[in-house]
Amino acid sequence: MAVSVMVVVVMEEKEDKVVMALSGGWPKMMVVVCRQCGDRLSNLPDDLIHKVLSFVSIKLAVQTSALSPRWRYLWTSLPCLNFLSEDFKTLPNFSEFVTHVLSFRNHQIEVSSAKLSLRGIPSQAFVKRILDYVISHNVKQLTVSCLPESEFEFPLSLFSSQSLEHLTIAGHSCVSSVRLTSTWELTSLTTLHIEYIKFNDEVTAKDTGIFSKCANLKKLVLKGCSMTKSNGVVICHPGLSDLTLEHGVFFYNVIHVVAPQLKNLTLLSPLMELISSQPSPFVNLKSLKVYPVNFRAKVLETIPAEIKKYLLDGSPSATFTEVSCEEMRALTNAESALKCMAELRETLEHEKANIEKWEMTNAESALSAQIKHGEAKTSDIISKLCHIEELLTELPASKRAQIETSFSRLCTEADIVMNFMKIQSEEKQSRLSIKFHELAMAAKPSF
Amino acid sequence: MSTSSSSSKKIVLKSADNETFEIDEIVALESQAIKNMIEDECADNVIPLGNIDSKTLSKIIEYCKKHAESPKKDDNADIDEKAVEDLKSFDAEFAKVDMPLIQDILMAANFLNIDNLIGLMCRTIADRIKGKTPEEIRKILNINKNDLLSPEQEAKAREENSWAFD
Repeated sequence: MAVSVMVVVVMEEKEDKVVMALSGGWPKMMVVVCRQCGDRLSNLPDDLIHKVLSFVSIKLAVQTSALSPRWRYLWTSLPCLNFLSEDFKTLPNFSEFVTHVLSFRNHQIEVSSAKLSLRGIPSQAFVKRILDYVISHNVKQLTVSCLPESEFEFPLSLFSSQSLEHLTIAGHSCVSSVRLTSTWELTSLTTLHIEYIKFNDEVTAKDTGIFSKCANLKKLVLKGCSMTKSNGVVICHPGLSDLTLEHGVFFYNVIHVVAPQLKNLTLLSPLMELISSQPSPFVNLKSLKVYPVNFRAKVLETIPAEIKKYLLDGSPSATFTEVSCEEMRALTNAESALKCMAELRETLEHEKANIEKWEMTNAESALSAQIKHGEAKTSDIISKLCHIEELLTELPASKRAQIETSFSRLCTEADIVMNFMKIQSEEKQSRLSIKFHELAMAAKPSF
Repeated sequence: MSTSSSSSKKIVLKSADNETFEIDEIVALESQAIKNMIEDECADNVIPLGNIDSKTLSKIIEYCKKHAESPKKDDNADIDEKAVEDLKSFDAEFAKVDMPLIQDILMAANFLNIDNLIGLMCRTIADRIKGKTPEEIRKILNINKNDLLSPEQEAKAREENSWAFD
């Protein structure tokens, strides 16, 4: 029997949300007051400039060497390395760049955090070179993410580090994109986040459990992961306090959870497989929330009594809530509205930057291309606004009120940008027509 | 959480241009440096901040007030999304100022040791230089003309790191 319920046990903390960065940066001509001031950033200590550069790719960081003598060698002691393959046209270009960075960098400086974003099919040696470097420089935080179409086996057979505390490995939604092949010895690891990764049998066959050599693990997120031909998964961590298991082929196997310290558990998956491991591994849960999977369906399936009993068996004091389909719809709509707003904000920022660049051109072809681009963008912005508004009207009033303030702010912003684009486009059109008018006048035979 | 009751302890900050700002102690505690001073009992009634002008200081106080009022993640598990969203959009609005002021705020936040604000300003600067050429970045950051590399030096820097310039 397939049970179509999602069960989410929400305890204590809410998930950290990435704070959306909104950069201001109005085009110069729109800034009315501009103080005549020098550059203060260059006077700041290295670690602050490094902090600024930690938010950009290592490629841009290296380019700042051409700014001024102060910046000439700053990048070489940067402790945050963001290797982004999307900065490069081809994988060989990227590889060559990485070679340069690793050889010119100051090797005395440890790597506090490293990000590696990959696409295509990089060689194991290439990925291993980067991982070896950052691990030998005592990296604490490591994020490896794969863009679409990337497929490779992770060279992690010798993946061991005393310093690594936070590790994120994210494949792309295509489940079979990346494979992990070994057990890890990461003694300091507290947070492990794995998304859309295919595990190899080698990892899972052992009775001791996956990641069993990561003794200090406190938070584990497994999302959309799958494993081949395995009989079951053991998650056994004495200190684990947060566990999230979400979607995936994963659950066609049996999961055994041994985590006496578990405080927060989030499960998003059909649960029949899970209950085969009796007795309930979850004790002292504080609250249990049940979310419907098919929330767009009209008939709501209720959670079977045996599952409820199983989950709550060891937690007599837990509060139990079943989330209705309406609430679930509201949650999903609110989420997509927020996502859409974030996208639109980015578009607006991008357009503002473009407007600034365009001022320089005067060539006819460029002008007319810009006019076209402006029109296309304006209609794009409007259609996005309409879509968000539609989503908002579907929300219940309380939820809508939460988002409406930032939506109206976004509208103001969009209005300013579109107005500006309109003014520019009119100006360009008149410039073009004047030009052609002059041409026409010049061509007129004079008597 | 009540942060602005009239009976709460007040702290007076004095800017470089001798303007004084009276704020609740809880607002001042957003600054780790002031917090340390208060804990070590070496804060007098008036804390002089000789390197921060009043324009910058009032912005910083605006930030600290908002963040002191908002429920902290650690002490309250059930923060509603509205508060988080609200703080996010406050931060976004707060950062919409010109680059000299951002740099002033960053310097002052560094001096006062306000971690979140340092992060916010650094991220804002990073967002503004993303995807820009060195020439554009020089303009954005107002890098002083006298501080530039000589054309020969710059050519050398580019040559040396040519692998990073497409």
